[in-house]
Amino acid sequence: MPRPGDLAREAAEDVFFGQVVMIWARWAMIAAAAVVFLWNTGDVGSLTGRVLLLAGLMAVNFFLHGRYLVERPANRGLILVASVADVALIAAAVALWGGFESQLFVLLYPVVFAFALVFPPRFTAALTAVAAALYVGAVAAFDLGWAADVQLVKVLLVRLLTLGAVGGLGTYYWRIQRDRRRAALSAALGR
Amino acid sequence: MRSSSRPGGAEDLALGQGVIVAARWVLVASGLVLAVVAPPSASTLRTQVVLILGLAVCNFALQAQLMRRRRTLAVLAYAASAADMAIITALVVADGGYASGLYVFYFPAVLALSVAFPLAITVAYVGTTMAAMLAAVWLTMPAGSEPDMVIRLLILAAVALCGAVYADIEARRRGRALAGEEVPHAAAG
Repeated sequence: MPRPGDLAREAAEDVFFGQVVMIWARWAMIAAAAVVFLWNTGDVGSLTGRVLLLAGLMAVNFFLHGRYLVERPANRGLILVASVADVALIAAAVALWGGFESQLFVLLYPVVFAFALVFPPRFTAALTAVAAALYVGAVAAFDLGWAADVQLVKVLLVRLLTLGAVGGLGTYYWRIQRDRRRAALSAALGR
Repeated sequence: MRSSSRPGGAEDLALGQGVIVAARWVLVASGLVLAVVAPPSASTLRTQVVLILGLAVCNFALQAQLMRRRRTLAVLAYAASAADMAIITALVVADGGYASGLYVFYFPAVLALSVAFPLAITVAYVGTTMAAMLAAVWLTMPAGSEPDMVIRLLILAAVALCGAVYADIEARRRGRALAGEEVPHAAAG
């Protein structure tokens, strides 16, 4: 049974080593946003606004990635805030551009998965629930027409189920890796 | 438990197989519930039930193998994952191609194989899955939906990338633990 000090150190190391996965997930989100903004926007005014948003996201991720590369990664609190902000941004994009029809909800999958690989299960459960709630809220805020069609409700349910599955499977793998690491450490100490 | 630090080894496959089996149970359970609730037509329901129950039988065999702690046969694991992708593709085609919402089942499936398989095999599987995903919707894709398709493909690759990067990070952490090396100072929190 690990001591509380060991657990705290292990959690800090999880954040230290694992946050690059979250940084890569955010790069994927930025790439997808670039595709949507540059492909779909016709007029100069709205394109300028969206490019500025994209540049802001890139600046934040350059900052986080740069700190990771010089072995001074962001702390746990900052990463938590950044992850919640990612989920909120995706939900806002869904609410603004298409609601139920928007395919931007798929951006939630790598964000939730990367989070599950770094944080303990209770944090992952909370973020997954927040992501699902914000997404449903965003879809409802855009339009409620889909709620009358049972086939569309099923589609929404599939999206939420797979989002929950991604969080759950990420946590499952996090546990497997934690147990393997502890076994390796015990083996090294027992030599 | 003996622990290896080499990523993509037999132990990674054996432990990752648990994630793949769990992902497949998610597909079976949610697929079955969604198939029987308000099915759009009898033929669609028939196709979906046959595919999902077939998958359940195969997964039970793999689950039993894991529970009896039998050695994971790499060929069997790879074939089962290929079957997963083929079944998801068949479900998407049967459900209307581009308009089908079932393509999201690719995400947990790709997640699971990205943490279990060696990198080269993961790349091959993800590439093939992306091609299958595109082929399944190609004929039914409306004009102007290209950006959405690019996003789907991009995020599928991103999920696999996250899994592969994390598996590599953990292999190196385990290697350091086995060697008794100190972790960088900042990691101590």
